[in-house]
Parts: sequence; C-alpha cells; structure tokens
Amino acid sequence: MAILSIRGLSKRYNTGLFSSSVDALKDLTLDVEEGEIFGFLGPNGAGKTTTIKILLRIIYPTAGTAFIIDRELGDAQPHQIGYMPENPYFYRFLSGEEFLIFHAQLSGMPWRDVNRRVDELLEMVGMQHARKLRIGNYSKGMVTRIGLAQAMLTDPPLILMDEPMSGLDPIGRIEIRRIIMELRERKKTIFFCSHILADVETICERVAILNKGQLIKTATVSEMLSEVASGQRLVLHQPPESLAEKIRNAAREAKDVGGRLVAHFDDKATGDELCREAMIAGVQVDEYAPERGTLEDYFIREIGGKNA
Amino acid sequence: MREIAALALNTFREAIRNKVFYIIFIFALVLMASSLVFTQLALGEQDRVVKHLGLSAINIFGLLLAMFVGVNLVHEELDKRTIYLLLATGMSRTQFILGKFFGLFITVIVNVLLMTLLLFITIGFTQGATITPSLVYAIFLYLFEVMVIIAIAVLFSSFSTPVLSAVLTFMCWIIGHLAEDLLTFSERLEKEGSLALAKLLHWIYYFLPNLELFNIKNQVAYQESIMVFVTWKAPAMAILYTVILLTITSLTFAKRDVR
Repeated sequence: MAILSIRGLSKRYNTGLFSSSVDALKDLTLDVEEGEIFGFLGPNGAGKTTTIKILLRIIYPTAGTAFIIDRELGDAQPHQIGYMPENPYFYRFLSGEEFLIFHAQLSGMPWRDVNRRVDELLEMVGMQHARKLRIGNYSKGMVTRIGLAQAMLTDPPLILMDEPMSGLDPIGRIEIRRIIMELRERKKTIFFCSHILADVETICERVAILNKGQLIKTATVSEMLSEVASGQRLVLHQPPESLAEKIRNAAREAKDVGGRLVAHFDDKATGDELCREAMIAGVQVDEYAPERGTLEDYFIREIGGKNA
Repeated sequence: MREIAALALNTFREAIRNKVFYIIFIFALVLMASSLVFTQLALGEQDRVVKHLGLSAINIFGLLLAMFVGVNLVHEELDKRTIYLLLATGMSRTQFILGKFFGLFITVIVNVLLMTLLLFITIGFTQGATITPSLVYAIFLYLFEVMVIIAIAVLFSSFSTPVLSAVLTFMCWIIGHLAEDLLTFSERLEKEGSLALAKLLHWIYYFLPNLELFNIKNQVAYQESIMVFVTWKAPAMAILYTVILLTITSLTFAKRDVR
C-alpha cells in the first residue's frame, strides 16, 4: 500500500523583476510503499528539497497534489510525518533536551508523555551524555543525531530525510545508517533524499532519480544495478605470455598489476572460454566473477550527459 | 493555543540567552547618573525631574528593545531556516506570527517591569519624590504603545530586511508621535488652498496610530490627578491597531513560500 502518493506535482518560481520563471519541479508522480526506504536521488538543484518542502507545506505547489496516508496535502496529519532537514536548522541557544521538549510541545504531545519520550529518543540516538549541552556547541554528527531524534518524536510512520548524511565523517555515517536500519526494522517508511550515491545504494530498496525538476526513472536498486552490471572480470596469476597476449586482444581492457593480469570482458562467453583455457594450462585463477556496477555508474549513464 | 505559548516562551528564552536584558544595566546607569546630576541642578523639583527622566529612559530603552528585536523576529527565523521545522510540525502561519509577537511582548513587559523597579528604587532614594498612581498608570499605558510598535516591527520584518524594517518602524514611531502636528498642519494647508497635500496628510493622520495618546509624562511630572487622564481610548486603540496589524501580517505571510 502506498503511504505517500505524489500526483503531478509542479513548482514554478518567478524570479526577477520581469517575472522570468524557473521550473523547480515538473509534473512529478510517484508512489512510496509502506515500510520501504525510498531513495530520492538527484544532483543539486534537481528539485529534491522542493518536493519535501511542498509535502511539508513550507512552500505551495503550482500544480498537482500529494496524498500522505490517504489524506490530501493540507489535510494530512503533521504528527504522522517526521522531518529531518538538510544542514539541521535548529535553535543554537537551546540544549538538545530543551529542543526536543519544545518540539514535543509543538506537536501536541500530552505533557505526561513528553519526558519519557525525550529520554527514549536521547537513548536511541546515543545523546544522553549531551542532553544539557547547547546545540551551538554540538559537533555536526551530534546535531544530525538530535535532528533524527526530533524527526522521530511523534513516532511517525513516514519520515522525510533531506540529505541526512551530508558533512558527516565515516563514523557518523555508519551511526546514522545504524539508526535508519533500526527504523526500517520498526516498519517505518523513510523518504531518503540524497545526492550521495553510495549511501543510497547501501540503504535504499527503491530509488527515484530526479534531474532538473523531472523524474527520470523509478526502480529498485537491484534493477538499476543489473542494468549497469555488464561483463566479467578475470584475474590470473602470472599467465604465460601467449595466453596473456590472447586475453589482451579479446578483453575490453587488460592491465598487469603486480604480476597479475586483470582483464575485463564485455562478452561472458569469451570470458568463460579464456578462463577455461587458463585453468587447463594450469594457470592460477585468482578471480573470475561478473562485474558489479554501482549506482554511480547508473546515475552517470542516466543523467551525466544531460547536465553537461 | 499551546503551540503559540510554546513558541512565545521559546522566543522569550532566546531573548534571555541572547542577553538582551543587559540593556537594563545601561538603563540603570543612565537613570542613576542623570538623576544624580539633574536633581542637584533642580532643587525643590526633584520629584518632577526624577519621574520625567525615569519615564523617558523607560520609553527609549523599551522602544529600542521592541524595535531591534522586533525587526529581526521573523526575518531571523527565515534566514536561519528554523521556521522549516516549526511549519513541519503543523504550526500554522498565524500561530507562528502570534507566537513570535507574544514572545517579544513578554520580553518587553519583563524588561519594562525591571526598569520600573529600578525607577522606584531611585525615587525611594530621592528626597521629596514619591511613587504615585499616575506614574504606575503611565508605565501601564506605555506597554500599550510598545505593543503597537512590536506589531509594526513584526509586519515589516515579515517581508523586508531588518535594516529596512528598523527604518520603517522608526519612521512610524516618529510620525505616530507627531500625529497631532500632522493634523494641525493639514488644516493649515487646507486653509491655504493646498487641498491635495492637506488630504494626504489627513489620510496619514487617520492611517497611523496617534502614539501621543500613550504619553502622559508631563501630567505625571506635574502631579496632575490621575482622574484627569485615565481613559479607555488609548488601550482600546492599541489593541484594535495591533489586531489589525497582526491580521495583515498573518494573511500576507500565509500565502508566502518560505524559501
């Protein structure tokens, strides 16, 4: 069942004195299923943040609408949507604990539940130790974690995350990834907006690619990867020169790396044949496997040229 | 209602943590130093001098606070994008405007009350000076003036930069205090035949609030009976004016894309 249905959403900004206009979003239609981690991918300025802002009623669409848990935009229940903004824009003068209490009050949480919920969340994101410290003194990773806690305050079924990993160090990214995985186990739907492809590839099940305000493609990550996963990779340990020469001629690309020959074949049958030949000749085969494409390859293939 | 209270309290807390109350120390210094000097110069008139000085200082410092915090109030939320999360919780634009307005109004009230306390202490130490009901009423009335100024500052802050908002708010304050002169001038122009200009000034007079209605410093200083100037007119006008201004602000802000 779709928890979020976007239908023909468009946003046009009028810029300048003479009303020239820019289409930030053009006729976007997509569905996000309940319980999935949905990647919303695109280069800077693709319209990702615009979409999120429309869903949260921070800006208004020029055309189209969206349904969040069967309620139309404007009629949706705000406590059913969690929001983690890009570069968290939080009040720096508040402590982490005060910030969460303030947002709990705004979301209409009953007083008796506020302290218990804030404690739970600080524990979940590992911020108990810094609860009294002002956000202005937090590191980037700590700000992200407190932002995640805020997004989960009302235990919403849908969480919109806008570039949650940008600017984090590797440890910080692993930590945020852990929290996102935990949310998935709790059947939360996550709308994960990013331009960091490696994160999307690791975390998301399904992905939509957006470019210049237009939807380019929606598919599962594995479908996208299978499209770019072409060819075979063969690694041989010190093959005889005659065989090496034959491989160099047949391969798309072949390199000598520290006494090993690394070759890439477009055609699986050629790869299979040469691998068999090497084995018969008694050459040590270090590796022979299908080449694994990345989301980055797919992304570049789909929109790389269009942005030039 | 709870959302407005939470935001108002948060705005008040921000003011405290941004140390805006330090203005009171400057007030205390100005008040004490000027009282010391001027009461020496005006023997027998200490009561009048200290009250006039005290009320003037409260007026100026209250205005500074209302104006400079007020013009940043909405703009800063937009600039730092802290408003995104507020709107994402389902807070309406009107609730946002009201929360920010009341937050600053509470800040100014607390500030004015602390300055009043300091004034009372100064009066206590000044020979021949007494705290009168008219003095208390003057401060009460002043709070209504500040309320209007904050509403004006919030309106400008919702669509222009802090500097421009400050200039516009200050201009409204000056014209508001010159309202009676504006009317006299327009009547004179009418007699002289400049009908168009006279009409324009007349409109400005009716459009902008007459802030002199809140100024009873002289009456207080000259110990006129409080019965002479207690009126419902000024507070009623301030409330009506504030409601109109906040409604305009909310309506224009409601249609706006927050970018």
